[in-house]
Amino acid sequence: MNGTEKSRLKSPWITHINTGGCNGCDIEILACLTPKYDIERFGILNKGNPKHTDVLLVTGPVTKKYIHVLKNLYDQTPGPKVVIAVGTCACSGGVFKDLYNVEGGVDQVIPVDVYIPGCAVKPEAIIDGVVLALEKLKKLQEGTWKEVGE
Amino acid sequence: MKVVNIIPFGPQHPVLPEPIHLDMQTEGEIVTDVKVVVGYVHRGIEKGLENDYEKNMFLAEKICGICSGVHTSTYSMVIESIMGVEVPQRAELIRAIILELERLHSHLLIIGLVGDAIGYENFFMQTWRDREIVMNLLGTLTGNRVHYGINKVGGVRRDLTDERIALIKKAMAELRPKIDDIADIVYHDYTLKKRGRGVGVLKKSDAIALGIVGPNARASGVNYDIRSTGYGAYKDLHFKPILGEAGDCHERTSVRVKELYQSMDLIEEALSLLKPGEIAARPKGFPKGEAVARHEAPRGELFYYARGVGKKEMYRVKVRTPTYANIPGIPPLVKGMQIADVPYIVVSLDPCISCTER
Amino acid sequence: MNTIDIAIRILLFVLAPAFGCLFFGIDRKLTARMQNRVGPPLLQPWYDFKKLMGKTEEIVNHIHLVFAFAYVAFIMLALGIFLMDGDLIVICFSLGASQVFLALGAFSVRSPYSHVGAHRHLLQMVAVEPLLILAAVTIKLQTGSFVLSDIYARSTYPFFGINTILLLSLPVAFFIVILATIVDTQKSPFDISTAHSEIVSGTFVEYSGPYLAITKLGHWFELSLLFAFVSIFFSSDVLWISIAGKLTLDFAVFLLILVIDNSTARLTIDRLVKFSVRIGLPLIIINIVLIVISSMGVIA
Repeated sequence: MNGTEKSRLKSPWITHINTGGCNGCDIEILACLTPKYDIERFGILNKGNPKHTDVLLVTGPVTKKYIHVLKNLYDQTPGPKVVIAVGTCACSGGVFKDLYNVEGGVDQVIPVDVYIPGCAVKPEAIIDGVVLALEKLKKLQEGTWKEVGE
Repeated sequence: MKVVNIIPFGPQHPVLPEPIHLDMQTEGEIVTDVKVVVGYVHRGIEKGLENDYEKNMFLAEKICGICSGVHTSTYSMVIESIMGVEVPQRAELIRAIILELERLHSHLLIIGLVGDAIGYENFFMQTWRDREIVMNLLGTLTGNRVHYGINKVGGVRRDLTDERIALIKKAMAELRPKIDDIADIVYHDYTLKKRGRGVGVLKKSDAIALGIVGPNARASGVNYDIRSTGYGAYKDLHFKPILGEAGDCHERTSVRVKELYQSMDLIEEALSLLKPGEIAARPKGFPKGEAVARHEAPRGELFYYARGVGKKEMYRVKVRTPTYANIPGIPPLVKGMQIADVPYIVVSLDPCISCTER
Repeated sequence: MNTIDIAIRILLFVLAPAFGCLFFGIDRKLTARMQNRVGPPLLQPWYDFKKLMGKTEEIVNHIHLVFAFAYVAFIMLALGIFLMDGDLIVICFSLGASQVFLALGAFSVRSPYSHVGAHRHLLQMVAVEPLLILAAVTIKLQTGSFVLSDIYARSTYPFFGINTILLLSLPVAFFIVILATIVDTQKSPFDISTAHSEIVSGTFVEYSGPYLAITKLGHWFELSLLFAFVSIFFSSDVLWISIAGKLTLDFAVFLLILVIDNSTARLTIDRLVKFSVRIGLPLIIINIVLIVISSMGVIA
């Protein structure tokens, strides 16, 4: 693994996107930056700008008004990128699945790499999910990634 | 044709955790007009609440992640009003303790976001580090840091054992000196005052005319706090609303800091009034009739209306959240201010967009 | 200058971005410690740089990139002139030119955040550049020349007269160089043109991938240049005293900037301009007047 690939694992910059959730998971993501959990020690920086990031942390069941915004943000992010769906609502729609303005889950709109369930997701689980996403990136670079079922 | 310079703010923005869109018309650095576009978080919850009255509790809880406890408490209160259920005293006191703990964590959260919005990162880190004491306590008492699931129609689901009461007392003793530090920074720091004094001034007459609620109105001198009406356990607790005068951003932050002290005092008073007893009453039958319930959420007055027709499913539940009343306050406060002041003004009004749009 | 001298200067030029990278790494670590956290490893800015070079390229328009390269090129030019003991005024104007290119690059894209950031960047230049040039003027009045080799020769330590150590005789110029360092490295209270919570990344909002890495390289060179500016204020005949003194001065200024960064909120751009006009300008003029009077022999 050459230097650039190693650096990619040591410096993942995140953008946090709220597609219409109740705000619980978003507060826990912000809590990850604070002294008790401190994800900056992994080199993670919270950049608000999709053009500067590698990892998209998406929360919330996607409401119909937000679909085009989410696609826009995903297209603006330069590769290689990883999408993490944080919370039960982002994985599948959660409690809101059958309501009339909800699309239901982030993977209806953009491809998702890692799913983190929970309501609300504990900060330890978020850190675990980001580390798993970096491992997936490492294996994709090496060519040894196997999807579930292969 | 005049060329207008429009600066967009949101729906994805690093300072606000929630999607809201502001189109600001500017001349240089001064904002001359602002258009607020909401609707990104509307999920259709009120339609979803036309369902089994006990299962509705879990949907009502997820309207908002920060003030979920007060949503379930108000929903329980309105169903108990319709069905005529008498909630035992111990359950009311436990509800009051959880609600005041929620007020503590919510105010510490927004005070920290104020620090983040004006570029004072150390203050943000310090406030959120101290907020972890409250979050841990809530997690131990109720089982989850967010979305406590403590309420049910007729009472609460978990009791406060002696060792949990000892944990609460220890946490309050640990928290008090830390809040003294935070209060010292808010009252005396030079750059915080420079960014906050005279910014986003809300006059008392405007606050009443626009219908602003919560600490925002109290910072302008409007004496309006639903806890004075004595619902739940508040009729037994000594409570006086905290009022400010200047109505600017710094005053709103100061009022929230003073409310932190008041919440800690109310928790200690409620703990001293706890007597052994039942924690829940069994509701009989199905809800038939209509009722109204109000609570003082951390952001202001929360209002629930519910109507049942004798079946298990509710016919209609209407929710009016405090931020729904506070959002019309954003355009008049932002006009005439610099672009650099807009994040501070929006954050100081403590908007919870997911509450507003349900 | 003999060949060894030239070789050392070329080595310093090549090491300058490494110094900038290490400074930012130490800065993030110390900031994290002050906030009660652990913080990233010291070489984190290097990992960031390598990762950015490996991203796919998304170009908004080509003139945007030309201006980014011009920004870096003029800073490298200023540092090169400095290391060859050149003229102080040329260095100040080269630094100013690089800032103008950055602002022009930010104006060439359509993002409103970029335009607001560029506008603030130009105002920030208006606040700081004239003061920097006046500081260079005071150095000339004190030592008789703008050229760095002469300045070093005439302000050395073993002459115990207080007027020759620039740090002690030109405190206002020193204060202005510290102000310029805080503003150019975008630290609180003056991190206004890349205000994270207001305009996302300001002038850098449309750069991505390898081109963002190039602007970061420019940032490292800029930092080395500013710390080299700080190190003018101490020099000595004896080589090891000179090096030790310059490094100590640089380190002291670094700690001062860090402490100020962590204990203040961000101010607005009009406050920066007012600060430089109402406080910076009168102070430097008083300093110039005092030097002129003392050199005319009125004050013995």
